Amino acid sequence: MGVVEIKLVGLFLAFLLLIIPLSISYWFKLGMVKTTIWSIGRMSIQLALVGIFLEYIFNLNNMWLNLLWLILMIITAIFSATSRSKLKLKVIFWPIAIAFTFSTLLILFYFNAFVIQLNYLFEARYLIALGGMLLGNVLGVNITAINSFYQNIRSQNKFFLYRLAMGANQQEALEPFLRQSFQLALLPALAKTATMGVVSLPGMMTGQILGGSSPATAINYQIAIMIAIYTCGALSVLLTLLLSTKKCFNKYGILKENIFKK
Amino acid sequence: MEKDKFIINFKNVFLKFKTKEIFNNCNFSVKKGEKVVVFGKSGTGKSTLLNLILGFKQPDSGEIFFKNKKANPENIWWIRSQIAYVDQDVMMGEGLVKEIINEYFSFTNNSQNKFSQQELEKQMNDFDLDISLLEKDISKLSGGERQRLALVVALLLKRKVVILDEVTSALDPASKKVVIKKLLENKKNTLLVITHDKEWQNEPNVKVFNFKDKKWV
Repeated sequence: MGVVEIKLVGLFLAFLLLIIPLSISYWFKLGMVKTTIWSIGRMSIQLALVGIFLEYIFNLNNMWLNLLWLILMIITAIFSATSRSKLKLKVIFWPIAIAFTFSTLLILFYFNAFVIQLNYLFEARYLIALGGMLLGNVLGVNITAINSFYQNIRSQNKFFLYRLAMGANQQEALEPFLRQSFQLALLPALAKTATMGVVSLPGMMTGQILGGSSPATAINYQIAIMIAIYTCGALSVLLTLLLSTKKCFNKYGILKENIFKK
Repeated sequence: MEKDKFIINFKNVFLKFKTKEIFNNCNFSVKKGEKVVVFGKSGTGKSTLLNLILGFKQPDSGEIFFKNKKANPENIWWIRSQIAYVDQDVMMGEGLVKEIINEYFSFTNNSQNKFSQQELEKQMNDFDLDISLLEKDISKLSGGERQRLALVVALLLKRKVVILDEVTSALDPASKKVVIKKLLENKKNTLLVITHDKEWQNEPNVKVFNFKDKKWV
């Protein structure tokens, strides 16, 4: 059972659908016409290029090339995270780099080796597709976690200092802020996870089913990848926050002011 | 001999905020058992005095000692654990009052510091707080109640040095009197109070320091 391919005409008809959101934006003066065209255009070009490239990489299926591609994805995620973080690059670069690389590689190889039990661990379609799913989530949760963590300490500085004055050590003083950030970063995804299958059919599962897998296979993958994504997110947030605290507080345990971007 | 009695000692402290001089060669000390009231208008930087002792800020030059130990990165964590501190509009966290209290006693530095239910109830009673508050969410407490709750926690910690920043200014006149009397009750404690409340100055046995002129009154 193969998938029915989308032909060029079909793709054109898909673009035709855009008339609806573009008209809405135009009528209601949402100011989103340009953004819509730019975003969809950018996505299309990026995906087209990646498609050509992936086709090439998948055919070669060379271990080093696959790893290199994965590393490029990690590096892109690191730079995307640092640019969207409210902290200066020199403060946050290494914590993010270490956290992203370590947690993604650990969970990815665990997944490929023990969950899917691949014979060839560096198989392009698993390494790159699954790596991308893990990284996409890692990127989102870490930006939320870092920004909320440091902004909360800054805006609730009185509370933070009170804890220090009460005799807290550095970690004890940070505990409520760690809690807040973990919850803020991880709870939305968990809430979405809990309704999965009822409210939404997840993208990967839909893709697999359309691609010809049986629903049973698709569901097993989906369950396993959801757990992997959640775990990888939690681990990476923990590493980013703990590693970054080393640079963001002075020897007196006080938040440095010069760590924030102007 | 004399030197050993100093609890807090500022030596030639200079501190500037931008162009505003807060301390210009300030020498200030508090001896064991003294009750010191630092008096001055708001906005003059009185709280900076406490921030320096607690290591929240560092002087541009000069030294600050607590029990003859310099307030440096090595000692500051110990210094904080020796001081009971309450400030204005204190923020103690979120959740149930009793859980918040327990959390502060769970810090490594405070873990040997147990208190009994009777002690807690007596302190709350002394500060005119109903025991039923313990079961409430802290956000349901009034500003005055939160202020007094923080004082209860500070005294339960049984630290020998108590420093307070404008803790009575949010209280009504009746509870202000109760709180001042209660805080001055322990003769052994060293007390450092930052305030613009006149009520403190009229108490016997307090030393008053005029912050504006940096002189004892």
